[in-house]
Amino acid sequence: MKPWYVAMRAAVLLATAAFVLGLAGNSGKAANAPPAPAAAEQQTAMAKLPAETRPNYDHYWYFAPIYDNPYQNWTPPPPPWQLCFNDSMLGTSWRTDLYNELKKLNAQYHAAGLTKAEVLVTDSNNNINVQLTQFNNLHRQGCTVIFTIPSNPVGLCSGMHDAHEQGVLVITVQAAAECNDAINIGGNGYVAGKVLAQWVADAINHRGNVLILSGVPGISTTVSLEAGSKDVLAKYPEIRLVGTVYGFWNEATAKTEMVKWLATHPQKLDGIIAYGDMSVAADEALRQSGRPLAMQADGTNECAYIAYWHDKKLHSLSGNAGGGSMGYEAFLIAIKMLFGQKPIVNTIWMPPSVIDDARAAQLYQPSMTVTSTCWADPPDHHLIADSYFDQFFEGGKPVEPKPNP
Amino acid sequence: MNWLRHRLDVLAPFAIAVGLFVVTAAVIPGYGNLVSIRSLLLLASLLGIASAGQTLTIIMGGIDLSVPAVIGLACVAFAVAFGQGVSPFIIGPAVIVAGIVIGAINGLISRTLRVSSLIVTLATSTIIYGAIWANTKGDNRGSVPDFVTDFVSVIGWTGPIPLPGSVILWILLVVVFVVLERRSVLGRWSYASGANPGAAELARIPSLLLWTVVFAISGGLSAVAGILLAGFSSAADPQVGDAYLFTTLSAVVIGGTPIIGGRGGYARTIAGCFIITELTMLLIGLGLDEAAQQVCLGILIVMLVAIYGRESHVRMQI
Repeated sequence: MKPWYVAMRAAVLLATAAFVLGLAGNSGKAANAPPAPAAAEQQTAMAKLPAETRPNYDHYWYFAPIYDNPYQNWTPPPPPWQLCFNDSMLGTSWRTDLYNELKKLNAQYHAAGLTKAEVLVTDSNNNINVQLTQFNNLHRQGCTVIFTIPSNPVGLCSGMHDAHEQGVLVITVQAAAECNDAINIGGNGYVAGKVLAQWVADAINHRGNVLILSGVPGISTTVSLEAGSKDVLAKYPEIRLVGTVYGFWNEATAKTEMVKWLATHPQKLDGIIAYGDMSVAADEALRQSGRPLAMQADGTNECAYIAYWHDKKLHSLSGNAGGGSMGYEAFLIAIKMLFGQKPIVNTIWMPPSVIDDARAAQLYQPSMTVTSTCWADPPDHHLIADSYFDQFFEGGKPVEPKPNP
Repeated sequence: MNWLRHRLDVLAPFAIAVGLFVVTAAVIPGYGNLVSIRSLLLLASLLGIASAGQTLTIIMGGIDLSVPAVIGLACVAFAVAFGQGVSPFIIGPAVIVAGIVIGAINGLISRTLRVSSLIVTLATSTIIYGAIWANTKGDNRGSVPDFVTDFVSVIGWTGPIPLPGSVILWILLVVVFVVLERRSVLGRWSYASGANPGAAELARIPSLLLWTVVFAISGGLSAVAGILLAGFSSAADPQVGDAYLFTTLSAVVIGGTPIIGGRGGYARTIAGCFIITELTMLLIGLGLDEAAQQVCLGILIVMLVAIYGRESHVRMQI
């Protein structure tokens, strides 16, 4: 082997080592946060909102801009209305529950002669181009309302614009569109991240080591959740954020990554902020690594965690964000608009709905196990009282009959 | 000189695996304790079992991209069926047989139609994922028997041995595979086919049978990995094997088995499995975030392969 070749290999090795160490030094510093709008722009946007709801729009730009209602001049067509559901991936229990809720409510209004018998549905398997084609097909098929969960905040904008111009009401569910051709309904991840982190911070008496167990890195949901949590933890100088592990909302991945993290981080772990579907895996990783359990808050109300909570008699907190409940809230917005009520903005966000120990005990069913994939929704599927939405709407007629989830 | 160089190339992955452990233990406090070592062994064993069939298909000149899909199918089928009351001693073997049949079909089609196994196994993956979604509609309610969970528990024991069952299974698999590669007709046929498929056929090696059997082994072992991952995660998840496409291929190549086949062996893949697992643990231990881990892992893999994984194909050395 020639000396120059050996030297070159050594140089590559050293350069790589330097690169790795450099990345280690910078890791975690560069957030994928979107740039914040100018203060004046933020004030203008927030001024459009009812005062009581403004805290729910904290750092709103992580998810969607706030515009005036794009359907201000829209007149709903006479019934029967055709409801449609354009889903990016109808392959999870959350999405299935949402679709089933839409079908159930549609059946109620069909019996009253207000909607057509079927909810037309499409599934693009997370392919945004396929989803756009399916979206365009739906509005050509005569949909009055298209509920959609876009897999990309801008990917459906051209279709949404065409649909809007042709008088089709487009409603995004928990996945807002960047363009002003749809009504967005859902929750604000930044605020949810704050709520979970605040609970953990309080539970560990504002001191100790905290780990974030996040979902898919880089997407707006995780970026906003992490930003909210980190802003809360930063208020407490005796709390140390010791790491962020990405479990991709997948039990196996979460447990694998947690096992690796625990094997390389011997320090005591006092709290875990998890963003859904991964808390059981995190606790199993702790237990199998011979570590004591940490105080943990979870982002979602999957039955598995409710069962685990019950079995282990935990003190915990979880978000309440099942697909069935989101389906109900989205339907409620649509039916209000079909009765002529006009929202004052394009984005309607609800305050975070949470489940505490007492509520978890009420939601627990003996059929739930730590491997259940169902969602422990409240029986009435209300994330919040219907009256919350009244402050966002003007004019129109009262909804009759009221939706019966 | 060539003999010495070959020996160095074979030993380099093992030396790197040991070196990585020493460096990580020196850099990260507590990494050398028993729980961390057992964690390393467990994660490496899961990767090792998933990589076994991949190694043999690559030696033979093929590639199996259906490994993640078969893992996902096995995980979902096992957990859902057990959750519905089917005995694990019925559904377990049934799932493994299903994996074997899928693998056999992959080999059969690749060889009969003379289509690259890369394309065939990719198409099989799509069919499998589609079939899972069509049957479950995303509602993968299921559960896993405790003995399977214990089998892949970091703190699990196998009788008096303080190691989880999957590590013991991996050790047995290594013995079987090394014997299979070096002492069996199937092993010799695989190397001959990978070194020169045309010459192998002229030497009357039954390539159709060979490809069918080797891909069947790969499918069966992927199914075993799927059942173990169901136990590890205690959940039925069709995407559970996704991470194993890149990592199984990386483990094989980093271990020193060239992607074009004809050389290498499962013993080398063991080193690859340890290197991949140790590297990710080192990067996590250094505090790198997910994006930085991916960048570094990719660079380190290219670097390792550049250092010792650039042997010319067997037929170019004759």
